[in-house]
Amino acid sequence: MGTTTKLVTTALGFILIAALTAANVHAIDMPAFPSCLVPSGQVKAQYIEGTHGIVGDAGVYTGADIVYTVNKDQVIQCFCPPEGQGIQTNWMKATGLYENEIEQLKREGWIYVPTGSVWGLENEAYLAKNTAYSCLSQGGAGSSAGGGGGSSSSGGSSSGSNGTGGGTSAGSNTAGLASTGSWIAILETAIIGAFFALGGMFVKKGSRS
Amino acid sequence: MAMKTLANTSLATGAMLLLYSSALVVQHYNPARLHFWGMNSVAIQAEFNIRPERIVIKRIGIDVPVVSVPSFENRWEISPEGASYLETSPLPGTQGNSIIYGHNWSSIFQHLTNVKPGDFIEVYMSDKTRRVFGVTATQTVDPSATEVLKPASDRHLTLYTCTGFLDTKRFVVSATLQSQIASN
Repeated sequence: MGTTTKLVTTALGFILIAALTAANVHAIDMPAFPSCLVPSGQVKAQYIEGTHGIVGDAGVYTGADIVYTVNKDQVIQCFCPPEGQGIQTNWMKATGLYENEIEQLKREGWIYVPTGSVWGLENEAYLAKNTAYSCLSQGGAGSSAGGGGGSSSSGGSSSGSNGTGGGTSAGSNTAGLASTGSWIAILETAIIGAFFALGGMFVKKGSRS
Repeated sequence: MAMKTLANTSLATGAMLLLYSSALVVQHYNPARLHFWGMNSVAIQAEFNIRPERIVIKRIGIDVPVVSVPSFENRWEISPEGASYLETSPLPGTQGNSIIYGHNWSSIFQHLTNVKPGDFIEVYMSDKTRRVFGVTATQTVDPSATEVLKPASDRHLTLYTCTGFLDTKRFVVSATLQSQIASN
């Protein structure tokens, strides 16, 4: 294996790790939203059951739904279906944002909603973003078992939004690679790596002779 | 030519995997990997001289000691001996958001990611009481999602460990107090 190949391989490894561990950089000063795990704010609407729309998703969802007013510009919706695959929708007013800022946020998964009134919010433009979480539907733990869709509790109104994004983000999915918590997994990875490296050297040596 | 390509591909793959396993080892011992970025603990404990001593989640086989740890200048200590209770957060079972976290090692919280809403978490206290919490929600978040650790108005318990590629995510379990009973 030539020196150049080694250098390229090492550099690619570092780039891969850096890319996968890098944090998103926001040019826009994003406000913080509470989590449906520990919701806060004033309850704006609460539905124990019913059909609800999720912004950016034409489907109709059934389950519990609580909407919290965080402040005059922010709302969170915590939707929790009986199956427990909850959706948190963060809403913030888009007024005051420049067009390029809205476009950047849309690229980051935010959905532009021209008017919030179809979702039971104020008649102003909003940006909304969905994230997935697991929840306990009813019977327990009241406030923490939230769920999104809130203000659109009648469901069908979801089609009124300018839904460019897809329903829920795969927030709970993580790479199924070796975990740092498992020595067996780490050892397996190292052994497989050593096997490939030794195999490569063996083949290379064999091809020379 | 084909043999040379095969050899180089094999060598490159091997080097990548060895590099990756080295990164896993480094991250395994990285003291900062469980942190949430820029999170300051602000709560003040109401009960003194009582500490959580053990945490049990029967359904997934977690039964580990709890070690009280302080936080200094925005850096949270982590115990390798068990789950770490952030002692500046409210005591489990009192009003607010109690925070317990631990490495994703097999001896501590590796299986925490198997917790589901509806599961029960038992916290054994030094005053011989057992405080039972019901899991209400779980979520995998970025380390910047400090909102999951914010103070709560109810008797809340938050557990978390790291997960994802090179521990770049946090798996968070949210629970509320169900009962407090004397343990045997």
